Amino acid sequence: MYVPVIRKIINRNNTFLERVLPEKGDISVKIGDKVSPYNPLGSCKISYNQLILPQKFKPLENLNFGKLSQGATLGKFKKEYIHAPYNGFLEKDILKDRWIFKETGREYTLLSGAWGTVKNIVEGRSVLLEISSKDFLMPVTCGNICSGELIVFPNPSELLIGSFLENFTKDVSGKIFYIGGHVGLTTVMKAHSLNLSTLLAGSVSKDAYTFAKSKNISLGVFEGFGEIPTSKVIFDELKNISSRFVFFDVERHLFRVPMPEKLDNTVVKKPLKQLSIGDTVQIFQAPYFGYMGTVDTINESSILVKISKNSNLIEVFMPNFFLVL
Amino acid sequence: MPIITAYVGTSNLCILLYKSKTDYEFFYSPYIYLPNLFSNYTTEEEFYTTIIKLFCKKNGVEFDKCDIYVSGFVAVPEFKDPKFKRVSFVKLFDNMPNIYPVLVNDFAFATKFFMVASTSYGFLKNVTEDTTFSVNKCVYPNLRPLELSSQLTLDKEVLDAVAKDKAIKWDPNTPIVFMGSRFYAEEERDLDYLYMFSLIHTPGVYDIYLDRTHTLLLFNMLNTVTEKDKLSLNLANIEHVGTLITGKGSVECLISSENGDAKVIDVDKNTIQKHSLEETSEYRLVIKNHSIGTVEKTVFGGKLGIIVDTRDNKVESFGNIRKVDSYLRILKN
Repeated sequence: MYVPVIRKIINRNNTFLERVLPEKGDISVKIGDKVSPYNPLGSCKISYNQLILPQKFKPLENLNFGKLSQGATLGKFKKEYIHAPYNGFLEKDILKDRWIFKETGREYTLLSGAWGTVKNIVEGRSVLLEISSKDFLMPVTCGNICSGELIVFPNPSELLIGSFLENFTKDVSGKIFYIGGHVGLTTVMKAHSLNLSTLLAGSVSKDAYTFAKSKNISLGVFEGFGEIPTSKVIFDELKNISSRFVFFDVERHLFRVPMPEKLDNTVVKKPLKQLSIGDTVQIFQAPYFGYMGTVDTINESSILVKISKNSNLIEVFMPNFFLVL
Repeated sequence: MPIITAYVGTSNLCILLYKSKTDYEFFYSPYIYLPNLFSNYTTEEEFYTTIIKLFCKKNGVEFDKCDIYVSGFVAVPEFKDPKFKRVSFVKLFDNMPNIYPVLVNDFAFATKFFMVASTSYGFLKNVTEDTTFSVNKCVYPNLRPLELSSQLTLDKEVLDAVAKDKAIKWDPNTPIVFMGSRFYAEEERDLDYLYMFSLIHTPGVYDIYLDRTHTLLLFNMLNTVTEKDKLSLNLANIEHVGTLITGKGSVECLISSENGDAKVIDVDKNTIQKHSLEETSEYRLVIKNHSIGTVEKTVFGGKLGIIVDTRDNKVESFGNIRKVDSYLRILKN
């Protein structure tokens, strides 16, 4: 019996990672350089705020457009004067024929976020790194590609997730939260009210997923819909990498964790494998939907699986199981 | 040179290896490529190539010496290797001569020049939180439910969509052949029959066939790509279910056999009744019903014989597990 293989975690030694500056700036590394997560790769200046001025706005004559202090008069709209809300500069948007007041650019430093080697550079814009990574499979995702520091909650029950969120989310910007084995609508709504933008979990309810999608929250799930606990093999890895800078690729269903050293990736990645006794399978059949087990007996169109040492054998019919490697 | 034709459904894969008119083999797999699960390490092309290579090896045929044609519903898989030639499903399906093909999977219903889908955003509309199985169908579409209730949830989604669409025209003059991933199974299932009868909502007398393994589709693909009738689309190659008489109100039917025996059956409104016949014998039917009129037809017995379906609301009755159970008992007896 040949069965497709799910690879929940894949070790890779030749992952390419592109790190991009948000605006054109300076790249401070060169091809061949070895970098660590906190090494700067480059910098640029970015304006965090901008004020789009009305179409009929007229700037003052003899105004120093390039450097305007907070409170300075910018010009007139109808009969009212408009003042600078912060230090900045005035710029004409030729395409839309309007004026924009932008905040003076602040220094932005692009960090590597991973251990690796610089393979290529687009001058002033981006750096391509070759890194080693552990790639986690996420069958269910929504939202946008993002990266940030990983915060791992210790699989709290749904009741406790609320208090975890309140106590451990003082500074949420740029962070990715693994919030537990299962998340429901209440949890996702709470996370949204606390401005968490990226959430990971073992499984998610349909309502919670729909809500996350509607609010553009990046959500990644390791197992599927319903109340499926996070596989032990995944949680064991996650708890060891808390605080690591990680990458979440929604489109490719990938959660990528950079690793400091070369990994063993000698496993042959064939998509199908002949099932053998002792293999690990994931069951997708009630009442053990999402559980992992060991193959005990192989019949013509079903298998007998042991979920734990002392459990009875469960008959699982084809195609309601996949091999897990 | 051996020819391989393959059909990739929403939850199963069927392959035909053709060597000659008398030497051909089938292969069926309940697994398909699922991007949410496998895209982190393999591609659709590699997945199907691996399966076809295993099938070739098992049959002692060299993969490199085969011509391979692949079709699929809703989309035909993408291949970079020019060895794989993609065949439009619509072209195959719409050009099946002398039959009225009906393809049904867990998400969609299609017949010639017509298709209706039951999903929104990949989710099934009517699933509730407690149906873990159904809600996961968008991630693991190949899973088969074991519980009757889960299968009914899936089926009702499609039934609802089909019933709402008045554009479907069922043709009583052409044999109706059901196929598609929904019916793919190694064993016979009475629910499949009830589901087929529930999909047909236009009164009439229909000759019903079931092609669980897409045999006719694979044959038609072979004939289309080679432009020769290598394997005939003979209905004898698939399961003949029987004759369905469906109409509003009571039905009266006179059944005369080849040896002169005759029998009248009366069926009340809002029920299902089965009348078993000799599978391969020929019968003459005279049917009277106010929505069908008076129809005379010669039929073969088929696996179930004659099924008279006078249910008022087929979709609604399919949502009631007790009613479904009672109908299944009727079909079983």
